[in-house]
Amino acid sequence: MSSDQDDAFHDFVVAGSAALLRVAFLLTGDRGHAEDLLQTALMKTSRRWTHLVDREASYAYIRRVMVNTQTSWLRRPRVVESFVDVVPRLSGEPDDFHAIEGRTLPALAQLPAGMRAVIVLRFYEDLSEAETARLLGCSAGTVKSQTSRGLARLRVYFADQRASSTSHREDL
Amino acid sequence: MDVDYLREALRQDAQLAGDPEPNLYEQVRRQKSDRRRLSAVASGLAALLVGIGVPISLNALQSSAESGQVVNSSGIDGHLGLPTRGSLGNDRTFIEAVLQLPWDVAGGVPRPETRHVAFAADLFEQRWALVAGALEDDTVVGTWFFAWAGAEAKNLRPGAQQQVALPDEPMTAVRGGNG
Repeated sequence: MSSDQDDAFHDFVVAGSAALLRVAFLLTGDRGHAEDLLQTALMKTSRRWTHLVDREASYAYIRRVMVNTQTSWLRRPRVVESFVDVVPRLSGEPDDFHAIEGRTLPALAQLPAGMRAVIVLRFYEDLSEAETARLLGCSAGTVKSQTSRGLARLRVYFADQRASSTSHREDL
Repeated sequence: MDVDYLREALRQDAQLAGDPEPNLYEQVRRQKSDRRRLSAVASGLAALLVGIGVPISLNALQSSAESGQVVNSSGIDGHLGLPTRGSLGNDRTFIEAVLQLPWDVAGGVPRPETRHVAFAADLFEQRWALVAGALEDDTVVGTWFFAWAGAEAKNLRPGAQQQVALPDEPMTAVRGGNG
């Protein structure tokens, strides 16, 4: 990498890492894993940096790397996701977070990695079906079906949570 | 749950990620540098392994050069029984092509009839070929040729080091990887 390219990569990291960390966080559901994922993705992106023509291409590339890397990490047998009733509070967490009924982190954790990525890209990154398909390297039809099934599972999850919450309040 | 609700919930959850490490760029650079060093060490280890296996062949080659005996160019069924080691050792077409590569060293041009491919393989995403041969004064020299893994022989380029091979002394090479 030349000095100019190095500077451009530095600017890319500085300008984009906050937004990328948020995507990584939604993909992993864990701040530590999100940092690892982002750092790994940045490293892989730096190797390809000279081939990435502009900022938009770089951002698309690193998102793809994050999704693929996270999927491959989840395939490793030593990686185990555990489901908890209460999400641990993190530093910087807004005080009213737990008042929001539709917390998505435990809900997303119920989804397979690919489906989770589709939901995050479609509804957090606001990518179209075609853009999501291009980024994930699958067909738009696959994105459509994954979206539909993912939303259905999230609806079931949130409905269960509401029912559980209502029941809990009635018991009190 | 409508999708607008989901979008808003995702946006709120994403905020929990907080801010990235302020020295993230330096961390990435350091990690990249560490991996490059590890890759070089791994390549060096491979070179060491190669170096262990090759000297016998070089020694035999030197003997052949001194006696004026012609080494079979393929090295597979040579008069000296010199094998070409490595995963490409049985690829006769490739070995023949490697022997035709332009090759000269500081001390002259190794005599074509003495040339022998002592090692040829794909290792650590690179193609390696060690070619040995004798100069006019019967000094045996060897050079590593490199290209990317799977490359044709014509794409091999000599490494920076032109080594003079002494009997029973390993010919080593160290190459950095892509990481």
